[in-house]
Parts: sequence; C-alpha cells; structure tokens
Amino acid sequence: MTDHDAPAGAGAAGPDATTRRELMLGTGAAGAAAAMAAVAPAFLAPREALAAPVGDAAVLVSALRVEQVIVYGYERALASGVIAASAEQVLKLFLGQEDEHVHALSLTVQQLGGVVPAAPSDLATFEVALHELHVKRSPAGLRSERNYLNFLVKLETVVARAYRLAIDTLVDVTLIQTAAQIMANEAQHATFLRELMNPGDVKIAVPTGFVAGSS
Amino acid sequence: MNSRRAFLRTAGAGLAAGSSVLLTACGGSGAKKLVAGSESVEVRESDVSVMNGVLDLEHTAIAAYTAGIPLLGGRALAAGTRFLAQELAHATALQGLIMGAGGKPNLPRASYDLGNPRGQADVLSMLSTIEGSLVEAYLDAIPKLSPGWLRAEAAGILANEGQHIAVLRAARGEPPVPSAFVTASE
Repeated sequence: MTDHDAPAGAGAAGPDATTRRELMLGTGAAGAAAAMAAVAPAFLAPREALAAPVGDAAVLVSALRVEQVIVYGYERALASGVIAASAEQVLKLFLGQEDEHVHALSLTVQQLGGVVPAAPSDLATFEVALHELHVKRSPAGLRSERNYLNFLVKLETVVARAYRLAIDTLVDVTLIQTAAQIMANEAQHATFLRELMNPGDVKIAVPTGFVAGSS
Repeated sequence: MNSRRAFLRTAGAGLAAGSSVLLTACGGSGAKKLVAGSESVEVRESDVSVMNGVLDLEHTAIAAYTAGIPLLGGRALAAGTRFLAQELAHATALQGLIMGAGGKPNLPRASYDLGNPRGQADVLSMLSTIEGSLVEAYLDAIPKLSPGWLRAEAAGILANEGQHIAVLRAARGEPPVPSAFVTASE
C-alpha cells in the first residue's frame, strides 16, 4: 500500500458513485435502466440479449442471488452504528457499486426471459441465503467495525467465487466480459476492506496473484 | 496431468516462492519443470496464441516494475515489490499453460521503451498505464479462450490486475475504485 492510500483514497471516489446510486434508487425501474445504460455500456444491448443462450440466464440468476446477499450485508453493516465515518464512506461507495451489479444483472436476466429472485429482506432471510452459500458466519453476532469488515471481506470472496464459476460456464461473449469486469471490481472491494483493517499492509490487502474467491 | 492441474501447480508454486525464486523461474526453466509431463487435452492452438498475447504484456509489466522499483519508496515500494512478484507468477503460469499445450511461450524482449521516469510519480503513472493495458488485454482475451476453466483462471489474473491498478491509483491520489465495472481506464 502507499503513502496516499485508502481509506481516504477510496472515499475520494464517493460523490460520483453516491450520485449514481441515488439516481438508481430514487428514480424507479426506468431510471435504473437509464442509469445502467450510462454506467455499464459494456453490458447487453437488448438485441444481443435475445441471442444469448438460455443457459446463461440461469448462470446469471445464481450470480444475482449472491449479489443480493452482499447488498444486504453492506446495508446491515452501515445500519449497525459501529462503523466509523472513514469506513462508512468506503462502504457506501462499495454498496453503490454492488447495487449497480444487481441492477445490471436483473435487467439482463429479465431480457433473457428469466425471473429475478427475491432479495433478502430481513435477518432471517439473510441467514437462510448465507446458509445456502455455505457461509457459516452469522451476522447476528457481529459487534464491532472489524467484525463487520471481516464479514464483508468473506462475502466479497464468495461473490468473486460466484463470478469465477459464471465465467467458466457462460457462453455469451459480452456476458463473459462483463462478469470478468464485475469479478475484478469485487476483488478491488476486498482489497480496500482489508486495507481498512490493516492500513499499509499490501501483503494482506493483495494476498495472492490469482483471485479465486471462496465458497 | 492435464493442463488445468499444470496451471494450478504452476500458480501455487509461484505464490509459495519468493520473488527471487520467481525471477529464476521466469526465464523458462522453472516453468518447464513445473509442467513437465503435462498433456494438454483441452487447451487449443488458438488459446496458445491468445495466451502469448497477454504473456507479452506480462513481460512488459515485469520489465516496468523491475525498472521502476528503485525509484519507489515507502508503501509504494512495498506495493511495487509485491506486484512484481505477482506479475512474475502470472508469467510463469502462462508459460506453463502454453508449454503444457505444446506451444512455445513468447520470450521477453531484449529491451522495452518505458520512457524516462524521473521519480515516484512518473513510475506510478507508467505502472498505471501498463496495468491498464493488462486489464484491457485480459478482458479481450478471456472470451476467446475455449475451455471454461481457462477463462476462469484468466479472470482470476484479471481481478488481481484490477487490485494492482486500484492500489496504484490510490498511491497517485486518485479514487481507487471509481467504477463498478473494471475497465482499462477505470
């Protein structure tokens, strides 16, 4: 890590991302679709979506379920009251980006004729979803900022793993590229969450040259 | 042993080793040893060509980090050293895959035009540019690779390059994670 590094650096990107998130959350489905077109130009155009193999929809639904889980994880962390202002800025930025992933995936699943699954809406449904993802840590016992950051790092690695599996399976070229772009973004999140817990320790922030994620 | 296991062994060995060991392996003998006896039944000739394309850029990155590290200090030096080791591991893994598929890995060039960086800021700028090129190259290469597992392995490297570019961006005082979709410029 460097002398000018996060959390301050990560937070510096906040305003733009927050604006995007507010746009998407505050303007309904039509606004979200417009926002996605603006922020994810690499994603499917409708004509390309229709040509994508049917199996790709199921793969994306799996990735979407995991994204929905991490969105809830960030929201829960931010609502916990134990996150300091500097970390809160980073978590809000990353939540906004996870929201963008969810919107992009949801639109594409729908374009492919699939059904967008229900997202976790409370602790009970969140814990069920975690269990299905083989995440053994329960959010119920988290008490400190460090607890939450560790939990979010775990979820980020689960999401990265989900995209890795998706890239192995997807057929459509554009979907493969976009999944790879998102996987790289999740790896960046994990890096800066680790940095928040261990400032300046690049060996912890970027532990491996081969991001594999975990189940 | 198929080429997938060859990759995993190569990658694992690269990560377990220190950068000095990796520097030795990068010359070719290490990679050859790591994939000895491997038989490619999945990686195709077209994959070899694609992998050699990104290997060329990995060689460029290795040259850039090697040349730039003496001009770095503090945390930037620690990051540069770490990232050099990881680029070397990527190159070693790619070499192993290419050789496992019966191909010939491209060798590093004798020299690289890296400009004339005069200090840390110049080096960080140069490294950011090269990392951006790597991201672009992997994004282009990944859908062209035929076995799914090979695409996934390449995506694992791409994700690591995304981490590098974010840390370098932070070192330059820029927002490190500006986009939800990683591209060469974001």
